[in-house]
Amino acid sequence: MHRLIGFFTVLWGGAILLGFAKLWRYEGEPSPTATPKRERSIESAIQPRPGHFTLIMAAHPKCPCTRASLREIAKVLAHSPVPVDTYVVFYHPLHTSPEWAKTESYALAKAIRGVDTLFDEGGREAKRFHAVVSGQTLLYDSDGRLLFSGGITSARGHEGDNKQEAALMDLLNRRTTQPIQTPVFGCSLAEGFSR
Amino acid sequence: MTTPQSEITSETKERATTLFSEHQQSLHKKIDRMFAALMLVQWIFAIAATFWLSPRTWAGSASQPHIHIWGALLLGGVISCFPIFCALARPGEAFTRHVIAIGQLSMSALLIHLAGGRIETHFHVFGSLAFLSFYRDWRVLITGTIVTALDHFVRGLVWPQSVYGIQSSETWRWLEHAGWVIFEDVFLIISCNWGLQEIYAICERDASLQASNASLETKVQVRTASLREANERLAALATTDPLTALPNHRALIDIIDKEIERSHRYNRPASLLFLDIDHFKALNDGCGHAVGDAALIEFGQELQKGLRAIDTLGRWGGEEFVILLPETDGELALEVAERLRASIASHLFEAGGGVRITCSLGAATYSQDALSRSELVHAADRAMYAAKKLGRNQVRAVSDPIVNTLDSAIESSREDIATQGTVEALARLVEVRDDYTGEHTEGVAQLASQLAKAMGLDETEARRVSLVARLHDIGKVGISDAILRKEGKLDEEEWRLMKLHPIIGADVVSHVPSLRLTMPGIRGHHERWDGRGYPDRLEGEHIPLAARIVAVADAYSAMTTDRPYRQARSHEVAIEELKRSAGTQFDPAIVEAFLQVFERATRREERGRAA
Repeated sequence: MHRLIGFFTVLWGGAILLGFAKLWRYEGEPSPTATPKRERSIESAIQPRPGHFTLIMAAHPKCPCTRASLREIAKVLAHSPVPVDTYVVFYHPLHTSPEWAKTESYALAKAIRGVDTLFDEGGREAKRFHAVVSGQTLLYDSDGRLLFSGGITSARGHEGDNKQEAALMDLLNRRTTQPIQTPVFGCSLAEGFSR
Repeated sequence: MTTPQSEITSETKERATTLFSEHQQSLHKKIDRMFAALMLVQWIFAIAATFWLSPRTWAGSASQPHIHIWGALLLGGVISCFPIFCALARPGEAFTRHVIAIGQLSMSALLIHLAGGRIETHFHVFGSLAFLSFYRDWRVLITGTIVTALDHFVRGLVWPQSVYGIQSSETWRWLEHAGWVIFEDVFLIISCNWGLQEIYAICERDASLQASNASLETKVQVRTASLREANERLAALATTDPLTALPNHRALIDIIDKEIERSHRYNRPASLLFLDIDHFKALNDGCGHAVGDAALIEFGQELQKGLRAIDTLGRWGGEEFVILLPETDGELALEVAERLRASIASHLFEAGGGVRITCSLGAATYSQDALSRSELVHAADRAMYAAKKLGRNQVRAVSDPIVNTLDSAIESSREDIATQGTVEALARLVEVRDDYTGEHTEGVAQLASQLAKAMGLDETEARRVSLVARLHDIGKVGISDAILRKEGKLDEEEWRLMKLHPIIGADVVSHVPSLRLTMPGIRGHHERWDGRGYPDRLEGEHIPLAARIVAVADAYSAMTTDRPYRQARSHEVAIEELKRSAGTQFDPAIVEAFLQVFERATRREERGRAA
């Protein structure tokens, strides 16, 4: 009886460790991203303003992880020493109304001071920046040069101080001018799951 | 040397330890059950929270369930189910407590993870540790703390953001978190120990109280036992005859009552022997009371030898003894009684240097002779009395006809004496008022008695007729002398008053219980056969027989006696008058019987003269 209990206890402990390992692995695994464009697309509705940084985030309105990214945007804007033109581009599928995108994330973005929201039917606007993952953030300087591309959270759905966000703040504070690329944690903006 | 006090203290401590263990065991089981419920609720909460926070993961317009759903459902289930099982299947065991601690803190880790590392979720760790402290077992807190520390250590190494909120390469951060947990542990462990000390103190007090109660209970039991013994001794004294050590009168009453009840229930016979030592007074007077007492003791012992175990011998009082014979009919009871009588008669009593004693026995049987205890005892007593009357040293059953005959003789003689005295006293009253009436009633009584016998009435009836005749004019004591002794004829008012004397007479005798049966005869002795008499105008055979007989005898006596207002008539004239009035004033059958009485008397006189 004691052996059986011992066996089950070990089995139980193992199952817990395995479960956590699985979760950690998923949460810490970045989504596959495309190489971002160095220059701003001239076809984009978002155009630079002289003397202003432009911050663009592609967002899937129903992605749970994106809420963390939006909260990080809010923090960045609150602490930015320079004015930043910020846009959050909300994806909605082709042939659907923008209403599809009016979710909690959309409401969260609208509530952030200095953020403009755009609806992006079929993800066309995001594609112009080669952004394929929700939460992918792009920072352009006043000349339209890409300074930052990637996620601003360290894991899926995990908000809080992190290296990515710190790097973005360094660029805004002009502590560096080297372009930075970080992993992105979020849902795909492309149609369909890869098997 | 160990003093009694220290022995008590040692026992009390042992008991306190037992109580403490029992209390802890009960507490652990209770907390196990609470944790089982909590873990189930937590699991459901985790699933609900993930459905709300991150239900699905998306790829464009396509979606699928978020991995958090599976994490909450499966991992949450794995974490919760085993502790719940242990809490239900093995409650109160240390192993279960530690499994619960591991499970609970693992659930904290999962919730922190599912909440995206939100700092608020860390309060679950502190809450869980506080809840674990309910066990008042510091080891459980250590287990929980180790789980938390390990979780933080591993995640700090692999993925610090998920646990610390920031991306940090400082590997010692897990120690900081563990330190805060230990900080809480210190207070919880102190609280646990204080709680344990208090509980132990309470258990010690309980043990002392129980020891005091036990001591008190022992004292009460000892006192109760001694009280019971004293009561038993008192009961024995109250139910045992101190001289013969046999059941006394009071005990016998209970025993006989119970046996009669049992016999009644099972419809079985039971017999009672009533014994009285013959001439015991002579033994007492002659040899002294000490010898008498010794004889009584020896008498009881000798009787006891001849009885069965189920029989009861007791001293009824003085030299009277009673033997109760259960399951014994009248015939068998007589056999037993005769055997006992013979045994006593043949025994040479040591008392007084060797004397012979005999006894008289009466036997009665339930339910043949009596239906109650008092009846049964009385019946056996009567039978014993008959045995005495018939010469002593013998056995008589109450069913023996001679017993009843003796009873009747005794009773009637007693009654006769009492009644005769009363009758004579009343008759004397009448004589004092009126000489004629006194003499007259005596004559009427003789005539009526003869007449009753001639008519074939039994002894009792004849006697009653005689009494009616003797007292029929007793009511005249209530009539004034002016009327009673008036020489001339009575006027109407005087007659009215005179006619009251049967009523007054009946009223007088109604106050004497033994004469009440004469009342109808006295009241009706002036009634007429044709219904024109007084006071009730009764007719024919509605008039009491005694009254009809007395009426004839009274009329004859009155006619043949000198009165102040006329001379006595001859016998023949009186007879003729009776014949003439038969069927009108008198009952013809009685007049006829009256005539026959005189005819027989005449014939006897003639035969006497001829002889």
